[in-house]
Amino acid sequence: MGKVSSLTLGIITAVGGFVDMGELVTCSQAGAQYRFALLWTVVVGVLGIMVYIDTAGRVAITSGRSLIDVIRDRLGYRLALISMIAATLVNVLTIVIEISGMALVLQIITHLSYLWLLPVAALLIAAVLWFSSFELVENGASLLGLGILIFVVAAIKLGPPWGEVGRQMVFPSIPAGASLPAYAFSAVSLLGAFMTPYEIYFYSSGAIEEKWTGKDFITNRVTTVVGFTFGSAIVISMMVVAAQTFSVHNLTSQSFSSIPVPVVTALGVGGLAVFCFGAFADTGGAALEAALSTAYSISQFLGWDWGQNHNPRNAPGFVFTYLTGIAAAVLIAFTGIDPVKLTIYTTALAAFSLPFTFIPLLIVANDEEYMGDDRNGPLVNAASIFFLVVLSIITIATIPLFILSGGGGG
Amino acid sequence: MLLFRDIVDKQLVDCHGHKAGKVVDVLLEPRSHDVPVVQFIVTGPGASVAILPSWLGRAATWLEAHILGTPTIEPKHIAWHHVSHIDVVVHLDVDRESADLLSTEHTLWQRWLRHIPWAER
Repeated sequence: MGKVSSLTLGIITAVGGFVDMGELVTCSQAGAQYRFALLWTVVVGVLGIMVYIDTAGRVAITSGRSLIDVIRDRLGYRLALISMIAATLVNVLTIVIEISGMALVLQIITHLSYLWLLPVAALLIAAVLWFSSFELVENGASLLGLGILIFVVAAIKLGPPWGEVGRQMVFPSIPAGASLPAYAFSAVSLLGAFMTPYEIYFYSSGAIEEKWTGKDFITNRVTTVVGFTFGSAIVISMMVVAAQTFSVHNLTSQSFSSIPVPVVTALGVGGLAVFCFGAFADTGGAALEAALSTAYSISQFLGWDWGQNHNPRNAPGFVFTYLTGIAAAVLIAFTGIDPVKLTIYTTALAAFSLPFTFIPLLIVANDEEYMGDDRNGPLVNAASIFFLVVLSIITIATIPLFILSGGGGG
Repeated sequence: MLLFRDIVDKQLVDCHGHKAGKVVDVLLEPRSHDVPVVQFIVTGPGASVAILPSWLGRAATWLEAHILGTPTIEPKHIAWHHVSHIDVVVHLDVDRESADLLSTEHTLWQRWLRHIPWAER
C-alpha cells in the first residue's frame, strides 16, 4: 500500500474508530443535561489523547517495543504491575459496555431484550478475533463505523447557534441551578470517555504489529492529529444534537434508545438505520480493541508471544487472555447492571486510572537511553504535564464527586 | 554490572530469537571474601506470583491453579551459563521448548484452546 493511501486509511480509521459506547452515552447525557456547557471537555480530552497517543506511537517506533514491555523494563515489576492491573480492570469493564452497546443496538432493531442479544455480540467479537488478522480488526470496524458521521449531518440539519457552540468550547458557563458536583462528575466521565487506556495500549501494540519504523513518525503524527480532530467533530455534533433536541424541551437522555432520537428528529427513519449501522460497528470495534488491549498488556507483562497475526497455537497465552476477558465481560453484563449507568462509571474509572498509564509513559518518553534524539521535546513535555495535572486532579476528585453527585445523578 | 538494571524485568529470548518470558529474579551464590556470583535466572508465572504482595499472591495462585489445573506453579531456573549475551533483551543459548519455558502456554493450549473449533489451522 502506498504512503498516501496508508495515511488516508489511518486517518479514516481514526475518525471511524473515535466513537465508542463511552462517547455515545456521555455526550448524549451531557448535551441533554448541560446543553453546550461541557463542550470544553472535547477540547481538553481530544488534545490530551492526541499528545499521549502520539507519544505512545513514538516510544513504540523508537524502541521497537510495546508500552508495558518498556515500562516493566525501565520502571520495574511493581509499577508495571500496577499499570497492567489498572488497565486490565478498565479494559474488561470497557468490553462489558461495548458488547452491551452492540446488544442495545440489536435491541433497537429486533425489539428483543438486550440480555438475549449479549451472547450474540460476545460470540461475534470472539469469532472476529479468533479468525481475523490485525489489519482487518483495525480497519474493518473503523471503516464501517463511519456511519456514525450521521451525527454531523444531523447537527448541520438542526442548525444550532454555532457561535455559542464555539464560545462554550473555550469559555464554558455552568447552567443556572445545575449541581456543581454532578456537573464536575459529568466532566470527569466525558474526559474518561475521550481518553481511554485501551486506546493507548492498542495503538502502541498496533505500531509493533504493523512493524512501524522511523519512516512512520510522520504517519504517527498526522494520523493522530488529523484523525482525532475530525473525530472530535463527531462528538461535538453528538453533544450539540442532544442539546438541540432534549435540553430545549427540558428532557433528559437516560436510556440508550434515546441516543438516536436527535438523529431521527433531524433525518427520519433513514437516519436511525445509519445510526444503528454505525453505532454497532463502532461499539464492536471498541470491544475488539479493548479485548486485544487486555491480551496485549498481560502477555507483554509476562513476556509471552503476542500478536493478532499469530494463530492460537503459536500465542496461546495471548489468545486465552482475550477470550477470558470477553467471557468475564459477558458474566458481568449478565448481572443485569444498567449498561448506561455502567458506562458512566466505567468512563469515570478510566479517567481515574489514566495517570497509572500516562506517568510511566511520560517517564519513558523522556529517557535518553531509550529514546535518544526522539525523546519528548519541551513543548510536548509542557503539554503532557498540563494534561497529567488535569488528570491527577480528576483522579483525586473522582471518588468524592461520585459520592457528592449521587453517582452522577445530581 | 548493575544487576537489577541490566537483567531483572528484561525479556528473555531463546537461541532462535523467540520470546521465553521475563527475568523475574536472580539467584546469587555467596562467596567468602568475594562478591556473590549469579547462579540462576528465575522466570515464569510461578516466580512472578512469588514476589507479589501476599494477598495478591494467594489470589493469583488460586486463579492459576484453577486455570492450569495444577496446585502450584514452580518458578523456572535457568543456569547463568546459558546466558549468551545481554542487550535490550537477555539472550539464551537454549531452545525455549527444551528448557521448559513454555509450560504455562502449553497448558493453556492443551487444557482450553485446542478444544475450540478451528484452533488447529
